Parts: sequence; C-alpha cells; structure tokens
Amino acid sequence: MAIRNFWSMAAAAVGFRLVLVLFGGDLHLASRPEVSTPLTSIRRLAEGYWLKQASMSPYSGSMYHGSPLLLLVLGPLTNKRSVGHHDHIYCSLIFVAVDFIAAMLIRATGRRLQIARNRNLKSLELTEAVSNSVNVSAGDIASLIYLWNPWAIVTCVGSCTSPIENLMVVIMIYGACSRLAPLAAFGYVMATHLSLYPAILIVPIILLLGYGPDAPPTKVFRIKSSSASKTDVSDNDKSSSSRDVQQFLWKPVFHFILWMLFWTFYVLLLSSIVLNKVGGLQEMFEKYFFAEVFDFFRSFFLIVFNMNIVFMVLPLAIRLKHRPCFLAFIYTAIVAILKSYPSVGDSALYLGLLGLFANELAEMQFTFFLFFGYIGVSLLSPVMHNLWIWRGTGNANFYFATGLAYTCLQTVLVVESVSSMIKHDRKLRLLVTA
Amino acid sequence: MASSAKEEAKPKPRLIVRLGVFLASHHILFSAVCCTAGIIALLFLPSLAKNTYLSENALIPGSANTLFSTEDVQEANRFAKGIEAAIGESRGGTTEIPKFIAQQTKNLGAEVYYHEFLPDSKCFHPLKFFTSMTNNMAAKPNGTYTNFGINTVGIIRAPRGDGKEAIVLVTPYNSQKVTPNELLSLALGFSVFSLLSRAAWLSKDIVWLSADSQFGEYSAVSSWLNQYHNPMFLSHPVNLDTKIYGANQILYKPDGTAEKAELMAFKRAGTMAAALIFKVGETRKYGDRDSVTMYAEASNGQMPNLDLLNVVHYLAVNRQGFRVNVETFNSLLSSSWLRVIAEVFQNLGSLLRKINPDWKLDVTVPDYVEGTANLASSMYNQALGVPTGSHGAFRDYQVDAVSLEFAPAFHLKNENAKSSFLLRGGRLTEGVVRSVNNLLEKFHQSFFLYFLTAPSKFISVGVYMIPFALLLAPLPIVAAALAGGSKTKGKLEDECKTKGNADDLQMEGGSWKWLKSARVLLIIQFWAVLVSLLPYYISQIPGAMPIQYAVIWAVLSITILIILYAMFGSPSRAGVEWKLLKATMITSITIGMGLMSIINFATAQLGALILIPMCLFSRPLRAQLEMNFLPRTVLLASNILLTVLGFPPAAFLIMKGLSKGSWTVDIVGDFWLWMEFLWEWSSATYLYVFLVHLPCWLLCIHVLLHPCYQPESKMKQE
Repeated sequence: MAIRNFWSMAAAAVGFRLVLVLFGGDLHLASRPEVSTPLTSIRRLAEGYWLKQASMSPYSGSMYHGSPLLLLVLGPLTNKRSVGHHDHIYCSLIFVAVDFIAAMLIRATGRRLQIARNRNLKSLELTEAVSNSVNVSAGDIASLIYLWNPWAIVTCVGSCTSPIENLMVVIMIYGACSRLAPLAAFGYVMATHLSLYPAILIVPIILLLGYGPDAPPTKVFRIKSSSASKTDVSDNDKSSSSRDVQQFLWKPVFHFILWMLFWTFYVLLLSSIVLNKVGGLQEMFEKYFFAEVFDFFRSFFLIVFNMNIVFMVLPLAIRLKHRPCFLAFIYTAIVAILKSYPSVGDSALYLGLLGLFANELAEMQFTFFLFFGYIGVSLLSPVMHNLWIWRGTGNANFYFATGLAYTCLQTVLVVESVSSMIKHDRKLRLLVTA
Repeated sequence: MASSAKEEAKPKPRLIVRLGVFLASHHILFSAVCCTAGIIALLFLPSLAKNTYLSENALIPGSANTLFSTEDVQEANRFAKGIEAAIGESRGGTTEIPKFIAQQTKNLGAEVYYHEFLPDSKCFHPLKFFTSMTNNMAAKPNGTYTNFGINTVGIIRAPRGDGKEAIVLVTPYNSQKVTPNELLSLALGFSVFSLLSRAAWLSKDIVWLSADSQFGEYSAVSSWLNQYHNPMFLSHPVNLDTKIYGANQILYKPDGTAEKAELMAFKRAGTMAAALIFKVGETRKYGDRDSVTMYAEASNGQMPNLDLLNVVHYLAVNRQGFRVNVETFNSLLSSSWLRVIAEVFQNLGSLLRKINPDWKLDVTVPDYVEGTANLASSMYNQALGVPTGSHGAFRDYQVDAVSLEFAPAFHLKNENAKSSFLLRGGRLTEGVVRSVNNLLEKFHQSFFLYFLTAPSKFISVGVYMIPFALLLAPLPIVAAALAGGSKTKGKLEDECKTKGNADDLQMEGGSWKWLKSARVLLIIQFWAVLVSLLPYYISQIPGAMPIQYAVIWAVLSITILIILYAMFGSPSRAGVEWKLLKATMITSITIGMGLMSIINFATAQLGALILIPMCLFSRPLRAQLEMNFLPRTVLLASNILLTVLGFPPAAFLIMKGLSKGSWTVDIVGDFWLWMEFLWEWSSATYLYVFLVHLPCWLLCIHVLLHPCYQPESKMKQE
C-alpha cells in the first residue's frame, strides 16, 4: 500500500526547505545550541577555513573540531556571499540536496526491507494473517518522516554539517541492505571519519551483508520447517525447507572489509594531503575526536563516557541479530542519546529510520505520550534557554532539566521499540505454531 | 491452559501503576476536586503573603547618615528657578532645557552629552521578547526629522570605582510642556546628582538621565538603553544621525564644532547595577502624608529583584516617613462580594488556627480586601506583559529597576512643604544609591518571581505556583484516561484472541489511532499561527478604522479555516473518536500552559482559570443525551458558559461591557486596539491568546459538536 501523493509531499518538503533557506531571512538557527554543536557548526567551519587560508592550522586552537575533508569540500563555499541572503546560503542549498538524497535512500532501503519481509512472510505462509491488516509502504513513510521532521528541517536550514553525517549513515545502511559492499564500505568509512560514533554500526552492517535484510528469527523458520516436515514424511524436502533459513555468507563481508580498507586508505590519504598544508595527522587525532573536559580526568571521562555506548552493543547484537536493520536503528538512537554534543540532527536520523519499521511497530505502546513529549521538549528547550541566557531569571539547571527530560523520552522510545519488536517476533512464532 | 496459569502467576503491578490506574478510573471526580482546590488555593493567596525582608546583607540600608541637607534643597530650588527662566527665554523652543541641564551638570564637573532619538514606530513584532535585543535603529526609514527627542545624560565617575559598574537615575520630563511637578522632579534629580558628584564614598559610576518624555517615557529610556548596549559599528556613518543633527543647529553654537562633538559623543559607564526612575506626580490628598508609589512590572511579567523594592520601602517608610503604595484595583476595595469572601476566609483562617496555632492564615477583612485588590492589580499587570513604566526598558537588559512616583500632599506653591519634601525625597534617593553602591555582586539573593499584595508583603513563586499546579494536575491524568480508555478495548480483544486461536489475529495498529486527532490538532495549530500573523498584513492597510481592521481579521480567519478544512478534511468528517480528540486537546494545553507558565506565569494562571475547566468538562452534546437530567443540564450549562467565556473576543467584550456598562459595536474595534497594544509591546500574552487559547477553544468546540458515530469495529462486534 503505497502512499498516495508521495512525490508531491516530498517535493513540498524540499520546497519548504528552499523557501526557508532563500527567503527565511536570518533565523538565527545556527546559533542555537540544540541545532549546531561545536562539532557540526558551519560557522566554526568557516572560521577553520579562514585559518587554513591564512596558513594556520585550524586545529591548533579550539575553534574547529570537524573533519578536514569537510573543510576541503565546504570551506570554499563558506566564503561566497550572496547579497540579500544569509551568510552560508550555498552550504544550505547543498544541505537541502543532501537531505533529499538521504530521504530517497531511506525510501529505497524501505523497499528492500519490504521485499524481504513479504518474501519471509510468504515462506512462513503468514501473508494473509499479518500482511493484510497492516501493510503500509514503510519506505515511503520513513522518507516522508525524514523530510517533514521539523528537526531535520531545522538542522538543514540552520546550516550545520549533521545532514552530511546523516547521509553517510544512510548510505551505509542502504549499501548493506542491497549488498553493495563498496557503497556500504564507503558510507561506513565516511560516517566514522566524520563523527566516529557510527563505528559501532559495523555489527549490523556485517550482519546485514552476511544474513541479508531483516527477517523473523531463525527459530520461527525451523519450527515451520519441522511442522512442514511432520506433514510431509518424506525426508527429501527437509533440505529444501532448511534452505529458507539464511546462511551467513562470507563473501560480501569479505568484500566489505576489503573495500573498507581501500576507502580508509583513500580517506586518510586525502585528509593527510589536506593536513600537510594545515598540520600533522597526529594533531588531528589529538584535537578532533575528543571533547574537552577537565584535564586531570580527561581520559577517565572519555572512557566512561564512551563505554556507555559500547556496553549496549553486544547484548543488543545477540538479541536482535536476525533484524540487523532494526539493530542499526537502535544503535543510532543510542548514539544520539549518549554521544557528546548531541543535536537534533542525530534525532532526525533515527526518527527517520524508525519509520522503516512502521509495520512491525504498529503495536508500540506509549506512542501518544512519546509524540507529545517530543513536541513539548522541543518547545521547552528554547524557552528555558531564553530564561537562562536572556532574562537571567533562570539558570543552567533549567536547561539541563530539559535535556534530562529529552533523554528520558529517547530512552522510553528505544525501550518500547525494542520490546514491541520482540513482541512482534513472538507473535509470529505463535502464529506459526498455531 | 498455559496462558491461564500465567495469568494467575502474574504479579500485582507496582503501587505507582495501581495509583495511576485508580486516578485514571476516577478522573472526573479527581479533576473536579483539583479544579475546586485550585480556585480555593488562589483565593487563599492573600492570606499566605509573607512580610518582605532584606536578603542581601551588603545592602545595609540606612546604616550611614544621609548627607543630603538643606543646602542641597537650596540648590534644587535654584536649579528649578533657572529652568523656569530658561523656559521663559526660549518661548516655545524645546532645546533650552537640555542646554540648561547640560550646562549645570558640566559645572558640577561631570561628563555630559546629549542623546537624540526618534519616536518608536508602531511595529508588529510579537516574538521580540524571545530573541536577543537586536538593534532596531537600522530598520528605521531614511528621511529628515524635525521631530525628535533629546535626552541629557550626565555621568559621574566614581572616585573609588573602576568604572565597571554604574547606577542609573532617571528623571523623565516632557520637553514640550514642563509642568511644575516635572520641574520638581528635575530639581530633585539634579540636587541628588550634585550631592553625589561630591561624594567620596562612591564606588559605582552614577548616570543621570533626564529623559525627554514627549513621545512617552518608555521610548526615551529604551532608545538610550538600546544605544548604550548595542554600539553601532557601521562601515559607513549613519545618515540618520547627520540628518537629525543637521536639522537642529540651535543646540550648539555655530562655531563650537569641537564642543558639539564632545556633547554628541555617546559616553558609557559600566554595566548597570540598578536603575531608579523617580518623578513627582500630581498632588493627591492634601494634608495627608506624602506618598510614594512603586511600579515594578516589566515586560512579560518580569519583576526586578525583590531586594531593590525592599530597600526603597524600608528607607521610605522607616527613615523618611513616606507612605508607600503599590498599584491597586480601587473598584475591588469597595466591592461587597469581596468583603463576603474575606469574612469567610477570616472565619476559615481562625478555625484553622484553632486546629494548629502555627497556621497563621487568619487575616482581618480589610487586610484581605486590600491584599486581594493589590494582588489582582499585580497579577493583571504581569499577565498583560506590558511594562508599567520606563523601568521595563531596563529589565530587557537584565537591569533591576523600579519607578517611584512621589505624590506630594501639599500644594506645589507651598515653599516650606516643598523644601521638606525635597529634603526627604533627596535623602531617600541618596539612601537607595548608597545601598546599591555597597553591592559587590548583581542583585541575586532575593526573589525575581513574586506577586505583591502590599508594599511590604509578597507571595513567592513557591506559594503562588500551588493553585496553578492544582489546576494543571488533572490534565495528564485525564489525557491518560481518555487515550488509554479508547485503547484498552482493543487490547482486551487482542488478549482474548491470543489466548484463544491466533489464526485471525489482527493488528489494527491500535496504538497509533491518535494520529488522526494529532493531525486535526496540527491543522488547527497551523490555522492559529496564520491568524496570529494576519495583523502584520492587515495593519499595512492605511487609514481604516479599528473596527474595519477587526472585521477584516475575523473574515480572513474564518476563510482560512474553511480553506484548510477543504484542503485537509474537516475534523468532524475525519472520523476521530471524541475521546482521542479531547485527549489530544488536553495534552496540547498541558504543553501550552506549561510553557506559558515559564514565560509569563500570571498569564498562564489567569488563562488556566477559564481554559482548564472548559477543556476538562467538555463532552459532546450528543453523548450528553445518554445522561440523567440533572447532571446533563449542569454539564450543558457549564459547557456553554465556559465556551462563551473562553472565546477571547467574547471574553473581552463581556469584560468591557460590564466595566463600561454600554454594549456598542465599538467594542469590536476596541478588541483590535487591545491586540495592537499587546503586540506593539511584544507581549507574550498575544502569543498565548492566539497559539494556546484560541486553538484550544476551537478544539473544544469540535469536541462539543462531535457527531459521536459508533466506531465501526464496535458495530461489527455487536
């Protein structure tokens, strides 16, 4: 069931972005802490580019923390000004295009997942039971969510580099879903290069390449095949039915690793060419990856901070190994919760990916609460900021409290989506055994 | 079999869950109780007011002997005579007074300069309070102006200071027509300034701004503050300034270009620690004590730190023998129904005191009535979000400021009484300056969020939040009950089906059913945004009457609503369950009210009194048919009454009509004027009315007129 008017709605979203970029005037979005962080701010990028032009290292101060590649690609654009528009108009136009591409890739990913889902349900003979009740085109929904998500729009218009990071993650997932090892490797290397956190996505990517897109648990297939073999006494069928259960294919994984090495070298080479002009590679690794905390506890904080993310990787991978794409979604959500310098751009990405599982998560709980919670928090945050910075009647804790509420909401979203996905799998098993 | 065993072994849910379920199942009773409790708590507020106290020890008001003496009074008299002479000489020219003030100030050895400004043009900027104070000088059109105001600013550099902080004294006067009162306040300002120029103890610079209030005090002060805080670094010199100055050569001697440059250069002192605006008003009551009225409400319900008011109050009452007032609603003071309520509360308070002697809630009837009148005025001024004087301009830059309006109790020709008044007024001002001068930090110790029930009594945020919290408390419960109620049915079906045969298990996506009602909400919010932006375009139409503007506004709003419904489908046809629609409405006002209570508490409090009962007790008229006669009529009456009151123009109309006693069509035009007043002052109340109140009212109408079709699934089941 495809969504009617998909293209008109998508075009409207792009048009809306363009209107905001071209005629919105200066919305001061780039100075909002929720939108652009020190890592993604394009104003810092412009500053870094200026330093580079003045043959100073952009990494020597604490001004620029982003990637040297972005400096190379976007830097020249930050210099160009157009009269009557805001400062970084060309970059913003690029971000609009980037958002559109990302949305289209999400849609394509959704298509792949849909095909896989239909095939699996057919092989389980559950098409009638499950598919007929809820069968929306998840790809369309997901890409529309991504395009119309106010946060994605704000990120895009507010000129920060998050759309590019998001695009790389989407490229990686799309590449892995359609088993295009070079593309997946490119996305992976670029995403990791741009913000490091997507590194943990290697797990779902390898699972995707090895097992193929999301499927019900292997146990369900086994039950199905055993019940089938009960009816068909002949043993000949057994081998054929067990073929339904996906085997881990080493070949695409191997390709992926080879390509990954290739891209890594390429990116490093490119970066170091840039860096030869601007400073040593060493410096980049010193300055660019690490957030600034107290000097004494710097390493301790870094470990504790980032360990939180790593802790989640393995248990989730074991529990959800049959649904690698969903696993990737959960990982991006966890990264968005726990990363240093989170922004609404990260949330825009995982909310877009959430749409890919519209069929599976139809029974999710607390959606009403989550929806209005997200709206409330995103309105509360500027108000609290205003109270703290401009009026002086509040203090930093007010703003911090909003951050806590936001994290709670995200946690509820992750927990609920995982549990409803597990519930969905259980339901499939019940349907098969029945 | 297995499932039934599972059910038996199912542990009891946690206490908090059970409590939530219990509350949700009794949500009607709970919301009625909470609303009543909220209104009672609101009425209790005057009895809960506490006496003010000085929080910041560094202030130590009144600890030093005042230096302001009769000599300074003579100086003031001399200054007043000088100005009178200058006015006589000028014969209608407006530049003589600034010139005279500048000359006198210069003679004291202070720095002095003129600040010239244009009157504020009327602008539609409802969101200005939300952004930083941007420089709006550049937005003004080009052209030559003959009509502009001149502020004269004198600065004393503190002998013991580092020039990083300053105290601002403001005396507004109308340069077009100086009244004897204004003359007196200028004289008072000058004499204090001259005393301070000789003070050795000063550690903060003193800035004396004699603000030209011919376009209103506020615009004079705010334009000076704007230039003070937003230095203009323009690549090309501003034409505007040269044009103003070119038009007026009288101010400066034709040859004195160097002197002119010196007088025109904008000079600054440090960050402002506090500002004191004082003016002498009309004589009120002969023979009584001289009184001072404190005005403190700045834009959007912001108040200066309570310590500043405390210092003023302490010095005025205990040292200089003034009577201190705050603004009040005089009509409430004489109302008989308030007296009845006061008696009830007095009895209630004394009863409570018998139960526990620590509860000091019994206030006498006159105290309660006066407290209520002051509290109502304080709340109203905060809720309106429009500053009550030029102190509001300071608060926009986070400077604590208070306006003092002296009301002398003598005739202004009585020289003796005038001298005594000047002496005490000067000492009061000197004392306040001295206290603020002692400060080492910005005001931060005392409250920023409070209501005043008397000059020395306040209700802090912790207390006045209780009624609002009580009103707001049932909202999430009711929303949960309604949203959950329409879901449980589906869930039960699911459960029984999984228990039995899973063959025809259907996933209805029950938990996403609210999406439809969210869509309705989004459409209506979008409409509300459009309606709130319309005045920007409508006010561009030149030369129409307010009533015409108002009618255009209404017609356009309705047209837009119809167009939106035609485009996206009207809510009545969308097949949304009314319970979900109501749940969505309640959630949206929970968010709206919560946000508004942070931006401007008083608005949220007053809005909640109408909006929350209106939402909580709304029920489709068709669904009411099933009820018994008595509850039905009560519900119907309350629904209709609240809905009428909840419509902003209707509420305004009724209020105006009751206060004026006349019901003419002009009231529609008055509504436009009132809205214009709100957005010109960039009051958040405007946004509240159109982005929270109006959409909620419309949703409420939709709930009331809901067709209440039986849901299809239910019909099938039956």
